[in-house]
Amino acid sequence: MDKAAQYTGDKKASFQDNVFMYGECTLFYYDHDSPLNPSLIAGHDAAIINARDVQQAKLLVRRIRASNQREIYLKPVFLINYRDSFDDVLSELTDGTLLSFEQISEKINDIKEISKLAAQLDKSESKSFEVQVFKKVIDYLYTREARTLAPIPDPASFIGFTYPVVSVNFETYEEFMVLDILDWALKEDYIWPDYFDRIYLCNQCKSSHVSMRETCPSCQSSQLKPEDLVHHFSCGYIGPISDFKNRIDGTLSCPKCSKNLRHIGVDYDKPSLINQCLSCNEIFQDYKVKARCLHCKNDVEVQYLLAKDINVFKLTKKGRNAAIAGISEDDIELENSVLNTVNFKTFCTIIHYERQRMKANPLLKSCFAVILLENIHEIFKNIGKNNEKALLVDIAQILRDNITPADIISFQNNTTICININDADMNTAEEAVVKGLQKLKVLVANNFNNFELKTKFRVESLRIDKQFEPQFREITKQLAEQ
Amino acid sequence: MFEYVDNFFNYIYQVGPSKLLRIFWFFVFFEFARFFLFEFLVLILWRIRRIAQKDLYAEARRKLYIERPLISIIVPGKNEGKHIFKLVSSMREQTYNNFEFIVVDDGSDDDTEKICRSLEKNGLIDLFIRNEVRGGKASAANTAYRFSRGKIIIHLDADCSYDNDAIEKILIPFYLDEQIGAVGGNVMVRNYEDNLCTTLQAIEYADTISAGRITTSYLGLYRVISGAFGAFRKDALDRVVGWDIGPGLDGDITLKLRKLGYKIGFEPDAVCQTSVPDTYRKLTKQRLRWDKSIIRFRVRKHKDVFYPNELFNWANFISSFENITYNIVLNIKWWVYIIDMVINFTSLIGFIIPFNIILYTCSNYLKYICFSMFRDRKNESITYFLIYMPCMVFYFGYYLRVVRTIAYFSEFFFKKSYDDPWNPSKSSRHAKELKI
Repeated sequence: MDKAAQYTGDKKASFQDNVFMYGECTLFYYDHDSPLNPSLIAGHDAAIINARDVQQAKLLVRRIRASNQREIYLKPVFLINYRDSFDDVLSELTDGTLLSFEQISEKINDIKEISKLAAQLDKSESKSFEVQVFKKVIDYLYTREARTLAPIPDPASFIGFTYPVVSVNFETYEEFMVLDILDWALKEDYIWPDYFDRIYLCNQCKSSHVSMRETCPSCQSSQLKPEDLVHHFSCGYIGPISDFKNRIDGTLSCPKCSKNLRHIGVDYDKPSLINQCLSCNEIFQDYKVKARCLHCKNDVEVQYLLAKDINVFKLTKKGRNAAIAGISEDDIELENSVLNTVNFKTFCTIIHYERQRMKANPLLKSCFAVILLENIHEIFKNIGKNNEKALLVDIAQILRDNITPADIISFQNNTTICININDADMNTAEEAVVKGLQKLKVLVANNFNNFELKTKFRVESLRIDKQFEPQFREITKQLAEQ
Repeated sequence: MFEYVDNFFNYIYQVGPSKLLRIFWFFVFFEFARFFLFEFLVLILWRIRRIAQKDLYAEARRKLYIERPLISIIVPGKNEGKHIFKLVSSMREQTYNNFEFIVVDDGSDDDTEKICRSLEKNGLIDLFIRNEVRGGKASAANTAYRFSRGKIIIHLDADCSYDNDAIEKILIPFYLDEQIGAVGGNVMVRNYEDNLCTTLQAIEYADTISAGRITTSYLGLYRVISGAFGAFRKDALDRVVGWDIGPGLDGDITLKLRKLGYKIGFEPDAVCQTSVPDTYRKLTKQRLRWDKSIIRFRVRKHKDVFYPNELFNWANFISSFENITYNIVLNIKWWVYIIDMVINFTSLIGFIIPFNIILYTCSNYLKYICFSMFRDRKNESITYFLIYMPCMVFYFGYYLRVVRTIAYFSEFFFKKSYDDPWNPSKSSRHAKELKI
């Protein structure tokens, strides 16, 4: 503040109540001793931050850029008296560094240009979160005449890389959503990818802070002892090198024929490697590589981690235009349904019409089956969200193989399935469900290390005199209590 | 032609028994007496003992299931991936199921590793070890042996399949007699219908190998536990520290166990089916390898069984002596016989050879029919093989004899077994230097 108050070098400039006035421009000055309320900068053309250190500078800038108000998050921000080493994230989020207040005059044109470009932006508000965030990003890039979203390796980031302009909109624990938004924008052709790196995220909390280690396939312990196998040519004995090592002088001698092994390739060779688990004494060559998430402690095999490409994104023409033309809400397509099934609400509607059909023709028979996949959540836990949906699609397909195309399948949730089986008596319907479940159990056992899928089901005739939904609720309750 | 047949029978009629014996002495004294009369007698005795031991056998089976020891089934091999799933399926059907299944890949250059790793991941193989560098069959078997934890180790070949009670049956003899150190299974020919070559081998396996092994086992002279199906007590293997390098390692380890005083059993009801070579070229290669090992192991490496020292054992002496006599000495004697006939009965050769063929064929028919009474497991009905019997004279009497002679000659004078690509040269070189 003292330094700001001393600034009298330029006649156009004046300073009063944390505000610099330079010609027509007003710049909000924040000094590290006072609290920052981002809304205070809304009425000014720019902000100057005098932070204590890089951490505080980051915190303050992030607070400004995270705002949902265009008047705040697009505001030019300058750092003053910044003495720490150059920081990539900070550099992306600010518009420059001032060595002294005298340099403000050099930035005035930039401030005006940003302000001018900001005025051209589309101002319509979107209800969709993805659109809101991405619009903020392209607005920021447009006003800064930038076209690239580059990832910065960042150990503080939950996903290991930060896209500063996008990441500021999320709390640390939800930073993986940055990738979802960028995926969405890529799918909608607003951005174009240029491969940079690949990361592996925990399938539960999406953190990239995972610790990988080789584990015993039997007890999962990482306390392993790898050893070379040694083959003694002349007697054919083969065993771990410890079988051969003389405990006194460390020389190698064969435990079968007592000969000394002197020359690799002549007396002996090392055809492979063997691991011994020091916890359970299991012997194996092919260990399991497991990844323990340092955040949520989830411990899974590496193939179940989520692999994500980290790209340098460039705005496409459509992306650049979207800043001034806006983003059409019609572009957003959410795919929450499972292929070959209907959602449960639609299912109830179809059942309603089915009952009407039965009322009109009492000879018609119709059944419905409720299937409870009791322990499938254990698989979901291991395979993560993305694979969970793929598995549900497979489950639906297997069940569909045993019913007619006219029959309807619906997932009430990811463990409860309801099937409407038309024009079939109870026995036929039950037979179809039993066959389907048998196949399903085989599929699960074959693909998930002999996992024994536990299921319960009930087949009931559709009743004209009773509403479907209460009947369904009653059955699911009974199945769960069984 | 009619005149020849007429002359032939006239000749037979006129020569009389004493001259016939002079001409066909080889057949009468060695072939018929040893390989039919003697074996037939022993088979009858074996059957009587089998019936008498019925209760003991049931008791041994009960003991096995009460103890239910962990068994290690080991399958060493190279480029055997394509057979492994079938073998695993065959093992999953076994009546005795407390076993660990260990597969060792001896430096395969096909998809064996991929297949086996997948089976291991899915719990169908308990332990899969791949040796990146080929070390030979013995090193692969020794790898499996080193990491096995079972009380008994069963050595299998990947390209074989097994009766669903084969494992149980091969284990029971260990509970019948505590002195038994190893038991051989009964190897039958699976691809006997492929062509004449495989059919003749099927007859040979049924008559000569199986019946021969029952006989030698009954007499305590059994000397080769087939690598395709053999069970070994782990403590016995520990004493010999696994297999020595081959070729011929099956016979070698059997004799090593015999020398330590273990009894060796043969279990004809523990059935394994194998695919035999389907061309004469492959068969010749296989038999040259087998026959060379008789010289290498019986005559050279284990010649000490003939020495009258503190380890001398009559059973081992007779076992090796009989093996050498009937395979090597009589093989040479057969050539002597041929020369004798050519020199002394030149004018009668036209009668002698056909008569010889008739004699052997009749003997083969008699042997096949009589021995079939002792075969509980058959590939086909008896009649299926009968039409092939006349070919056996040429197969066994001529073709295999020639192969055997070549093998003995090349091994005795040139030690050719050490050059056999069946074993990597790095190992063979050492074996040759050490004369093992």
